[in-house]
Amino acid sequence: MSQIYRREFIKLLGAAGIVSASSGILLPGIAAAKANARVVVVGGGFGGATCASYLRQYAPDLEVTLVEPHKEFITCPFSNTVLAGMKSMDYITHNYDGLRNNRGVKIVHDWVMDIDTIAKKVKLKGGSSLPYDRLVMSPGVSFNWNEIEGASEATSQIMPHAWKAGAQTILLRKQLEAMKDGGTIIIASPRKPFRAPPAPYERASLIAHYLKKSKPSSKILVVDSSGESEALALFRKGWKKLYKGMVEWVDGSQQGEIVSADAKSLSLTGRSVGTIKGDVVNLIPPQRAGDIAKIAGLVDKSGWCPVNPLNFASTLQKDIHVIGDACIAEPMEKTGHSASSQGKICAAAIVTELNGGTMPSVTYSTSIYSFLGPKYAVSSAEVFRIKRGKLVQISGGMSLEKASRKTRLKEAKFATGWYKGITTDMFAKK
Amino acid sequence: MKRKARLKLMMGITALLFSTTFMAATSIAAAPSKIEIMAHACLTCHGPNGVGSGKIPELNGLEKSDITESLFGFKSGDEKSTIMGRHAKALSDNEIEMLADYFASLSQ
Repeated sequence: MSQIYRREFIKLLGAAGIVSASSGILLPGIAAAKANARVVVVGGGFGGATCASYLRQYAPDLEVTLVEPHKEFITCPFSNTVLAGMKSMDYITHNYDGLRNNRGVKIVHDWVMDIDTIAKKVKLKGGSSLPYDRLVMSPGVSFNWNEIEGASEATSQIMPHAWKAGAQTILLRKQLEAMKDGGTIIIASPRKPFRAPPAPYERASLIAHYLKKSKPSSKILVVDSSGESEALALFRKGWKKLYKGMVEWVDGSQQGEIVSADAKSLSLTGRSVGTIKGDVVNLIPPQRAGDIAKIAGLVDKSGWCPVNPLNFASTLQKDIHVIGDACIAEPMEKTGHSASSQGKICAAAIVTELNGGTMPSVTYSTSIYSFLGPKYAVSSAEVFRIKRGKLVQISGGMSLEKASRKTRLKEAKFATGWYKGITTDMFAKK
Repeated sequence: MKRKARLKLMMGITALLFSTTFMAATSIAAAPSKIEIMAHACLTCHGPNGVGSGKIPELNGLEKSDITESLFGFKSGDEKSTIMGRHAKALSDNEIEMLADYFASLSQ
């Protein structure tokens, strides 16, 4: 349907809705959207912000409230460029003005304390409750600190995870700046599933870029619980080319992951690596769905939220949808772009269902760019469709291993374009 | 909804336009179409309304034939790309035609 055709059709449908309501004329197959339906979205990241924006775009009469505790959102994508000194914190910091002013999304900065799934209300720390017809949860991840002996939220002030961008990003950057030349940086990544699987490799690359310029005798040790992959092969090739001898990769898969940490001596112990000591330790812990998902009864024994990929409706709670890192949408990776894709599809599904329709069969797509240096990036593109109720990958993969430096430069430029595009889209910036 | 049924409905509605209630018409939304949903996936990288983003090319302002030529080229591999080949291979020929219609209509 062309834009113009659709606009006219919406107008007419609006008229039809009113006529049918006042004169009792039935229009089979078409129920006007519940104009006063209330959708509450919890979590203003890539999934939640995108979903709130598209809900209002598809249904301007829908009452959409986004609950997000922070007034500003700092993106994990591109936070590695801040660690490398390529970009500033300002560059990765965004506000909700666009969603409020350009989309008419109500923004509530508060913490969700509880969700009453029977009365259909979200209870806020500030004392008020938000009733909903549909609830969209996009709570991101929480950390399983108990899986690493000696590690906790408190020790992350000494061995930062920097896996939620913000103060942790600044802390890790400061530690890198303070480190003497010749030091060792350990990046320990958890087993899958976790947020942004290629990002530990990008982090190693961009820290190496920083060290090569200012502390060239330093080393980076990547203890990787994900093991060998197509992505890793591309990165290792790039490391050899750009940072020869600086980045060492250690296989921590097959139960070889880090099991204990000692913040005093800055050391980690893993089954396959023994005890290793660093000058800067970036310990990224294992992850689960954001804790508020558990309070709402949306989590299964895996620690994540099972959903129907057609509309991201929870399979455990009625009228609640879960999108982003917290939901189980394999084989989609847990990335910002996946969350954005899910947010749009979830918004379309909610509006379609409120109209009495059925979601059409569409593609779910992601593009993930990773920098190895300012002028050298690779990408992963994946497209999925639903087949027999499950998401199935139908095309995609990584950038070609034999691609030229010109292509890597082009992808670096596209990476920056991607960041501008996705942040403009999710925050409805003009 | 089939196009025919939609036409029928629109004709029916046209007959009702003289009703005074039309004056109160609001913009209650119709559900987004399949191709709108799919096109909105493109905007994540290609910018709002497909206006482009940094070095990522714009889609807005292109003729339908420009878009189909590129997408069919990416799909077959005849046209070189960094990332678009991997995306275009997932699209059916019909979806390529419809996406091209959608983006060409934006520039009208």
